[in-house]
Parts: sequence; C-alpha cells; structure tokens
Amino acid sequence: MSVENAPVVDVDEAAIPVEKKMYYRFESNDKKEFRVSELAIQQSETLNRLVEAMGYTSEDVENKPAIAIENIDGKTLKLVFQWCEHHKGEAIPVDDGSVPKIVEIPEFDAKLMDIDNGLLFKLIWAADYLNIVQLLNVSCKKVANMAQGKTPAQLRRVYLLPSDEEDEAAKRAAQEAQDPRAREVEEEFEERKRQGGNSFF
Amino acid sequence: MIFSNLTSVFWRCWCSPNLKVVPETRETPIPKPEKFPLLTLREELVDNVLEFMTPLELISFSLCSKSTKQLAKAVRNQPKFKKDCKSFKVSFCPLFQRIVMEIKGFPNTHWQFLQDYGETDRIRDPKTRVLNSISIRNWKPKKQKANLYGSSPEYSDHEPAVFYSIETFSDYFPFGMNKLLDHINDVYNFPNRVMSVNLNSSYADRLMAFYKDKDPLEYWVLECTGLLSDILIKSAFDKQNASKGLFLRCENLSRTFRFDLESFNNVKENLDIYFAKWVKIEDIFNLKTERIAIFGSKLEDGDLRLLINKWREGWNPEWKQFLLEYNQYKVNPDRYFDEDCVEITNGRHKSFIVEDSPVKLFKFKEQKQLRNRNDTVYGYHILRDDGGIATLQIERSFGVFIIQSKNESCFQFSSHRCLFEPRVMWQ
Repeated sequence: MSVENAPVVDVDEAAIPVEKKMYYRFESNDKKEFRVSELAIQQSETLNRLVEAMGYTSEDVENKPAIAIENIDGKTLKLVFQWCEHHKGEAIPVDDGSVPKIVEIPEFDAKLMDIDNGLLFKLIWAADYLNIVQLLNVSCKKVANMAQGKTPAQLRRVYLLPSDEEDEAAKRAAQEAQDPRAREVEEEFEERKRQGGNSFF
Repeated sequence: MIFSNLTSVFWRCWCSPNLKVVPETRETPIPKPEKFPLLTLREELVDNVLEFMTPLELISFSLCSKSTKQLAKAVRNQPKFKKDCKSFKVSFCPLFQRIVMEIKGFPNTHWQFLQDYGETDRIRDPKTRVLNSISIRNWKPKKQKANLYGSSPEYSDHEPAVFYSIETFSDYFPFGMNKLLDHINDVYNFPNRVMSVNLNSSYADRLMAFYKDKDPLEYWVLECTGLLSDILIKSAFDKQNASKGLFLRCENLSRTFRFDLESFNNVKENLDIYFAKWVKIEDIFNLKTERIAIFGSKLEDGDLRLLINKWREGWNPEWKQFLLEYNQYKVNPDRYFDEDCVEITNGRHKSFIVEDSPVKLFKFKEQKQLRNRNDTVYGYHILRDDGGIATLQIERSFGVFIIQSKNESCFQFSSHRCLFEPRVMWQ
C-alpha cells in the first residue's frame, strides 16, 4: 500500500506542537499502513524507543518503508493508534507497585473499546506488547468490569475458567505427557551406569 | 502511481534495513466473541485484571475453583495491598448476621455479605450454593447509603458511607458464615478480624461456644442493651478469645454484676469497657492489656489519684495506659497534686525533664484543634526516684495515666478515639 493510500488516524492538529509535527508510518501484519504523530507514539514505550533508535528525519519517514509490526493486525493497530492520538501529550502513569491502581475509563476509551471480546483480547495483547501503560490499564479494567454482578458459575463461563476437575485432568494429562521422556532419561542413565561411565552429566 | 509502487517494492527488497518489531512465537488465541479467555493472558495481565475487581467480584472469582482462589490470593498478596485492608467485621445480631469488609482503595465504602433472618431461601437452587454451606442467589450487590454517625451535628457535612450488600442464606448457623469468613480471610491474606456479637441474640451462647474452640480472632465486640442474666454475660466474657482488642458495650447490667477482669489477660493491646458501672479501681491493678479504657463507670478522679500514688510508691503495672472517663464533667487537674511543680512549655520533649531534679512534677498545657472546637490538654509528667516517668493527661472529662517508656525519644500520649471524635463515633 502506498503512502498516499494509507488510512490516516484522525489527528487534532492544534494539539501538536509545531516542532514535533512529524508522522511515522507503521504497517500491520495484514499490510495496512498508518501514519502516527511523533507525540502519539510517545504513549508506547516500545515504539518510542524504536523510532528514537532509528533517528529518522522527515524525509526518511516519507522515503523509507513503513515500520512493520508483524504480530498485530490492522484492525487492532487502528484502535491502538486512535487511542494514542487521542491521549497524546498526556502523562504516562508510573506503576511502581507501591499503591493500588485507581483507573477510570474515560468516555472516549469506553467508546473505543465498545468492541467484541475477541478484538478486546487482541487490543490488550497489543497494548501489552507495545507497552502502552494507560491503554493496558483501561482495557484490563474493562475486562474486570465483565465480572460485575456475576455468580462464580457465570464467571466460569465468561472467563472460560476451568473447574477443579478440569484442572486436575489437565494436570494428569501433562504428567502423562511428560512421563515417557522422564522414563527415557532414566533408562539412559541406568544404561550408562551399567557401562561403568559417570559422564552422564 | 506505478512508479511509486515500484519504488516502494525496490526500497523494501533492497534498500531498507530490517526495521521490524520482532513477533513473539506464541500464537494469539482467537476467542469466541462473547467469552474472554482470561487465563490465556500472561500472568501479570491476569493480575492486572483482578486488581481492578471490586472485593465482591474478586471473592466471586475466588470461588470458581481452587486455582482461581490461588490467583486472587496472589494478587492480594502484593506488597502494595499489605496495608490495604481495614479490619473485616463479622456481626451476629438478633435479626441478621453479616461480614463487612473495608478496603482502603475504596474509601468510605463497605462491602458486605448479609443474612437477614427474616428472609428464607425457598428456591434452594443447588447452583447458588458456595463452599457447600451458603447460598448466594444474586451477586449484584444492593447499593445503600448510610450515615454512620447518626445525626451528629458535628458530622452533618460528612459524606454518608456506601454499603454494597449481597444477600446470603444458610441453614448451618454459624458454620455457613464462618466458612465464608475463613475463605475471605484466606483470599485477603489474613487481615485483622473483628467479631461483634449482640448478646441479646437468642443463639449468643451457642455462638460463643462455637468460637471459643476456634483460633483466636483479633478483636471482639460484645454488646447488649436489654436485661440479661449475669450468668449469660459472664459466660460470654469467659468465652471470648480476642488476641488484640476487646470492646465491651453491655448496658443495663444488674447491680450485683461482678467479673474478674483478669480473665481478659488474653487481650494484648486494647481493652475498652463501656457502661462500666461494675468496674472498681482495684480491678485494673493486675491487668496485662497494654491500653485500658473505662467509660461510664462510677470511678472518680480520687480513684485515679490512688493509682498514681501507688505507682509513685514503686508499683509497676503491666499495662502502659489507663484512660478513665470521669463520673464528673469538668476535672480540675491541680487537685491531683499538692506539691511544688515546674511549668514546662513543651510537654512532648523529654529534654525538659531533668532526671536528678529535686522537683518531681512537671506541669504542661497544650491546645488541641479538633474539627469544630479547640480543646485544652492539661498534664503532669511525674518523675519517680528510680528515674521512671509517668504522665497524667487530662482532657475534658477524660484522664489518662501513661507509664512512659525509656526507649522512646518523645513522651507518648493517648490517641484513643474518644479524645478526638464525638461520642457518637466511638460509643
């Protein structure tokens, strides 16, 4: 896809300082291209470090190929960049693990995350991968909100939680799957011992 | 256009450095739209989600399976939650029983499981049963607001507390509620628990017997309003097993009621006795609880003077603070001593007291600003020949006798709620 045809995320021009007005191009794994402002990229620690390391000029951005993000699809990446553009310039929360988090979901984020759970799952995965702290917070909070008013039985269905019996069965299966190899190792060890060598390790 | 595309391909094939965000090898599972496969997120993200759940939601989650209980427990075990729980309170009253949780992350909010004895579970759906002993039909909590301080004018501007309640049903009294308490306690990594029992309840004796043989609970509140037999009350007092604090609020006890307070020596930190007309000053001498407070007694400033004189003669009690609400409104602090004293400007710093001073009494006065009023704190530091120091602190109708520790850099004063808050809040 050419630069001209790339879908452009809505940008609030007024909010971008003149000297920062540089747009990077990213490409999703399904070859959709996005132009994202430098300020918006700062919301993602991963992308911010990447573009800093590349040290692109405005010309490089236009002339060089779009930066490929090979494990996130276009639909998800569009949400991610829409979020980053909306929240550009905002302080990134620091979680030093010292205090419980308090997070409210703003109206914009609530609308953005009004999506099916499959896409929400991918959004969380992408936010985690790109290290977008606040997007991760609001999306996790959205998942937590699914528990509202649910009985344990309903939670099992919503979150696909295995029952104790299923956990036991999975554990047994894992043990059985592991056993043949353990037996092999043991046999090999015994064989070497019989041969009088102690060089097994 | 064609040229542009060709250029793009050329750049991609030959000229570009490998500017790629390297994909992870793990495949992203694609869930069905109406479900969310929580446990396929990586562990830290699962914790993140659980952290955002309300206490009632987290408890529901913890009841799904053994592994979800462990997950919930692990989340609450993070250092940042170490001091997040206020005491969890279990109340057994004549009309209901409940567990109330307060979490600092949700200020002014109370989360409770409530069993109203007037309600019965006619449906008895086994699917609603948790922990094999308690039924919870609906996990959507009822929200109510309540003014914890009644109509106290001092707190008229105080925001009402919010209560989120979930109704429970159990035929197995008190095992059902106790099992739920044990579960919650485990998930929340053993916060302090307060057991509050209204002795007017018909089952109070059975309940006390049940808890007597259990592990000690940290705090106990025993209360009653109507007339009850001395035997029942003594039996309840005997059966409590508080490890840290005991609060007795038993009104209308008979005139002949007596109880050996030394039976409360299992209580390490706080012993508060309200409506304490039956308590005599001699009852206090051999107590071992660190802080003792007596309200509504027949004791007067003469009784406190007796205690002070006993200490000056060399007696060392095992307790550290004794707070007495006088049976009179205003107390004249100068009536306690008839010897010379030195007035000091700062009652907090030890440097104002000279150990080998011929004067053994150091008087101080402090102003204390409370919500809607100013209070004056009067006090004396009393020096004993062996170097021991005790303090008499007098505020309104309260006197506190404090045995000062040599290890502290400053003098310690009482921080009992009665000295800071209106009566409605602590009684």
